[in-house]
Amino acid sequence: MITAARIPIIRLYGNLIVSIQVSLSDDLVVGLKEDITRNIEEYGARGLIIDLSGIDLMDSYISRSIRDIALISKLMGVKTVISGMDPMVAMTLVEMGLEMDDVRTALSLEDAIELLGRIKKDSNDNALRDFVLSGLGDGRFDGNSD
Amino acid sequence: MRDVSTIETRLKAVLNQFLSPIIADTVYASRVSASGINLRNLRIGDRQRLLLSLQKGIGRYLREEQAKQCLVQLEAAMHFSSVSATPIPAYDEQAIPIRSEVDIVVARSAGRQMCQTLGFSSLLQIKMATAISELARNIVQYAGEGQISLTASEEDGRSYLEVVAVDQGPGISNLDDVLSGTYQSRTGMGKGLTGTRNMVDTFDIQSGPGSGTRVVIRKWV
Repeated sequence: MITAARIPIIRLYGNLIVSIQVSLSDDLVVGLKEDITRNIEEYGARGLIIDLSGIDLMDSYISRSIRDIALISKLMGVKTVISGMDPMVAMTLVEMGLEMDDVRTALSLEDAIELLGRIKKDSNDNALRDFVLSGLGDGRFDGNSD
Repeated sequence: MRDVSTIETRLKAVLNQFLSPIIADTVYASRVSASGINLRNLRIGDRQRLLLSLQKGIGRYLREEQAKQCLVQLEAAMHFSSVSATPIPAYDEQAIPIRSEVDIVVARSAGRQMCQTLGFSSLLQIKMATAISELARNIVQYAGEGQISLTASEEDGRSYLEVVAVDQGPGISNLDDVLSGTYQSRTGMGKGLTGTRNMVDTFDIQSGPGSGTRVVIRKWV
């Protein structure tokens, strides 16, 4: 198991991208919540993607925390997308009754970026859309390394 | 009693028969030792996985015809050992003290490992690890400390994993509410116990004010 003190948050074209590729401890989750809200405020982010492709287990606390982060960000006016959930983790969550009805989701980080891109295009800001179309978003940041 | 060294010796002997000693050793080390397959408890799925892996290993060094012969003998070596020996249950037991959040991760990792050894599917591994995580979290959150015991064993030829979570905490006074799903906790979604119950084959809980809590769950392979 890999442990890290903090989960890195990437600032990109007005958006924040968080790709969680480690086993989440409670400390990490709490730290992440603080870091994301601080980053949103400092950076004035308009979009947030939380990529879960590296997570192979979510219990009620972790899933509740991720959902909380998404809802907090949403309250702060940030479009939030959760992406890349492992199919088996998703099945487990549903069986546990831990759906995330109120959170926007995407199959992959790429889809999540496109989703934000479409949102931004609607608001007449094409920077992210250009980024997507330029091919930079083409799998390079895809968390599905395994 | 199934002798691991016998299976090992047999596989190595076959490899040595077809490959030079150094290459045979390399193939064995990279394919068998690194596979994580428990030779003590070779299941049908394990055999196939091991064979497939060995096939890839020897495919590099042998011509097709030779590789085929080698595989046939490797398979025979595996089957012979498991048929001739009296099967013993893959009995394993671990007790993990739960005192802090870190122990939650320890418990669920250990549980997952045991599920893997027992031959649970990936989905079942995740489910059981999640269930263990919930039980361990309840201990940390409500009782402060306790213990999770994991037992892998067999009954009537079927393997199972049993998890016992015990604490001497305040107990659950509104157990009926919690189990009926009407209770909403602040940290989870009130779904920890009901969710766990949904994912396992047997679920038993004893709890009351002042008498601590004891949860026993079991999942069959």
